[in-house]
This record gives sequence, structure tokens and C-alpha cells, in this order.
Amino acid sequence: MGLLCRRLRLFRRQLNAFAHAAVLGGIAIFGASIMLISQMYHIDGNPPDAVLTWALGALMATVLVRSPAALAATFALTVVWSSYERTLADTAHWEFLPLWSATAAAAAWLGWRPGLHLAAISFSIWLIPLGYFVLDHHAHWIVAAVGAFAAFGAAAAGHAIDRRIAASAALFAYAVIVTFAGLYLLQFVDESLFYRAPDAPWTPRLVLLAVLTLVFLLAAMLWALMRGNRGALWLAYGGFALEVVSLYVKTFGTLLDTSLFFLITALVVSGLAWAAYQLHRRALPAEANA
Amino acid sequence: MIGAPSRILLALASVGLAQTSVLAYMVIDRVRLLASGRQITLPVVPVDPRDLFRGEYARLGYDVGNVSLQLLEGPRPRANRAFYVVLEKMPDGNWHAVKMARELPQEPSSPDRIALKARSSYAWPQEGPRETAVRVRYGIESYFVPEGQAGKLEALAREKKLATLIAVDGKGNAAIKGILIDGVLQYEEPFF
Repeated sequence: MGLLCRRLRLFRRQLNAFAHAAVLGGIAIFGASIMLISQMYHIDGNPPDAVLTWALGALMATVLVRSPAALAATFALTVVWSSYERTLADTAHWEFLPLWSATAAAAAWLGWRPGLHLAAISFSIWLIPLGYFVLDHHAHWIVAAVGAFAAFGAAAAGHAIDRRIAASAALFAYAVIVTFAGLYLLQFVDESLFYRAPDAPWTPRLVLLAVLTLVFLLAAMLWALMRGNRGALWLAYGGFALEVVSLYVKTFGTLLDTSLFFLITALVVSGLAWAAYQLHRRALPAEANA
Repeated sequence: MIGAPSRILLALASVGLAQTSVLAYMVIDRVRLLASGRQITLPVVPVDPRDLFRGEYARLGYDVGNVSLQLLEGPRPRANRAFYVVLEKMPDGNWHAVKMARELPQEPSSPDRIALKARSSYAWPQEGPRETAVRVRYGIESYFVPEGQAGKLEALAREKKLATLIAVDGKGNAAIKGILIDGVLQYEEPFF
């Protein structure tokens, strides 16, 4: 209650930052109280339930106090709850979606733009490992397909989305991350780390997926260049570099192969730089005329 | 984000009240269970870990913490989802697991049978013989103690002197009500 009064005083004195810090402090104390009561009564039930209770308390504070800080805490707790439940139950944990939707709706209602980024980040954290929990437990293609669909939608319906809320560029960037993550898991992480695929580097599946990934990333780079979407451009560059290095590590060994590999990569990157330069030159007169 | 002081006061009071209500519900639920639940006594075998956030506690193990898959009636529960274990009091006074089920068994009330809500500690074995034992937890496996006390409890348990007094409500929820040493109640949990 002391913290409550302090929050009120800070709000009254228009000290927004301190007031929201006090709200965050209140949420932290709520979580600590849950742990303390669990300790007092030796409650050793299902720990994710305690995190869910904490997240719901934070969401309520978000809505009633209209606090962005509480919103950020809610997203963080929602992700912790879902990850904890997934670790223990080995399920997709669809229960994440209603709470995430409510929190995302609160972010939209507050009109706090970083909150929408937090919504996208928390959803991506839930979505990217989804392939491990559905169908045959290697269904990363679902993640890649959802991401590619979202990227295509953000590109095709960008103007329509931006008329309602200027979010198509960010949506495209997050969709690129999700698609690349799904494809990357399929190529390098799932089999190599957990299922020990036999050492046959140039399997047709890897070739197909690598080509698909590189084409997707190049297309994303070109689209980002054309639309001036710097975030997506740098993410696609980063993804391209990671893909190339991972392919190299997984497949090449001899000096000749290495040289050939880096020659091709250098040519591709040079082509991209040339395309970027041309687009930049075209954009400059347009800006000058405007 | 800033509105009229009366609106802010109302919002802050609502948050404070609601969060306090949740905490009060946790306490009242436990007090109700401790005060009115049926009581059983289970011998324990603790170890001595520390929880980073919650301090020192004794980890309590029970004989009924390992339940044969043969006792499962009906489909296997989903991982980390609650199910029920029926315990029966044997002539020697000890409780043994006699049945597992996904739903709370609707059995006639008997002083020698009781159902406890449980969760499996690990994933359910999909294959394997029916004799496989499932490691289950009932939410009564942690006993928080003042610093330095867990070791003493552990030593007592090694000498087979330690048992817990458990309160169980009609829905199978269990709570530690006290600690018995040599069959004598030594620690009894206060309600508040």
C-alpha cells in the first residue's frame, strides 16, 4: 500500500518515469509475494501456474494504470510462463495465444509503439521453436511457411496495412526473421544437434533448402532496399551471412572448395552491392525533386 | 498515461486490491486445506538442496512417489498435467498407491483410501513394460526451513525417523501440515 501511495504522489506530480518505475516495483513485489506465500505454506505445485498468476496481475496493472512499463513486464512474464510450461509439458502450449492476444490488444489500446514491437518479439519467441512440439517434432517447415506467408502479406498489402497502422515495414522484418529461423532449424540445428544425421553434407534436401533460403533472403534484401526498410535489410544481410557461414561449416573442407565457395559468395554480395547502389542513385533524384 | 487524480487513485486502488486479493486467496486456500483436510502420515527421505530465490529447504521423497504404470486406469495423462493417485492404508499403517487415473476417482468415502492430485516428474513412458515406475510429485516435496535446519532433517530422515503429516482436501490437493520425528509431531505449521 505504501508503494501504491507513492505511485499516486508521483503521478500527481507528473513524474511519469518515476511513477511507472513504481508500478514496475509493485509488479515485482507482487511476484515476490507469490513466492513468499509458496515458501510459507511449502507449496510445491506447478511453478508455471505461479508465473501465470504473476503475468495476469501485471496485465491488470497495465490496463488499469495504463503503464507501458507494466506492459513490458507482462510480455516478459508471458514468455517465461510459456517457455516454462513447454519445458515441463513438452507441448506446443496453445494457451499462450489468448494471453498474448490480450496483452497485444492492451499494447494497441495504449498506442505505445515499442509495445507492438514487444508483441512481435514475444510472438516470434513462441513461434520459432513451435516445430519441435507439433506433428513429428521436426515440423520447422510450418514456422518457415507462416513467416513466408506473413512476409508476402506485408509486402503485398503494405499500403493497406499502413493506412490503418504504420506497421508493414516492421511486420516484414519480423516475418523475415521467423522464416529464416524456420529454414535454419531445418538445415542445421534440428538434425545436426539433436538427431545426428549421417555425415552426408550434400543431401538433396539441404541443397534445396539452402537455395530456397538464399533466394528468400536475396528477395527480402531487394524488397527492403526498394522500400527503404533498413531494419529488414540489415536482418536479411545478417541472415545471409549466417547462412553462408553455416553452409561452409557443414559442407566444405578442401582448399579448392573453400576458394570456390567464397568466390561465389563474393560475386553474390558484389551483385547485391551494385543493386543497392543503383537503387540509391535512383532514390536520390526522386528525393531532390520532392 | 496521466489522467485525473481520482481516476488514477481508483485505478491504483483496484490494482492493489486485486493483487492483494489474489495473495489472500492463496493464503485462505492453504489455511482452509490445513484446517479442514483429511490427515495422513507419510514417511519421508529428504535431501538438502537450496533454492536460489526461496532459501534453504529440505527436499522430501516418499515411497508413494514411485507408482507402477500397472496401476494406471484409462488413458495416460498428458505431460505435466494433473492426474490422481489413490492411496490405501495397509495393515502395517503405511499408505501405498493402489490406483492412478486421469480424473478424480468417484469412490465411496473410506478412512483407509484417499486420492491425491499429482503430476509426473518426467515425461510419461510411451513404450516399455507395464511394470515401469512413474515418478510423481504431489506438491508436498519441499519443506522450507531456517538456514542450517535442512541438514538436521536430512540426518533424521536417513535414520528413518522422519514423516510428514499431510492435509488433503476433497479435490486431492495436499499440503504439509507438520513434521513428525519418531512418530511425534515436532513441527506444526501455524495457519498465519
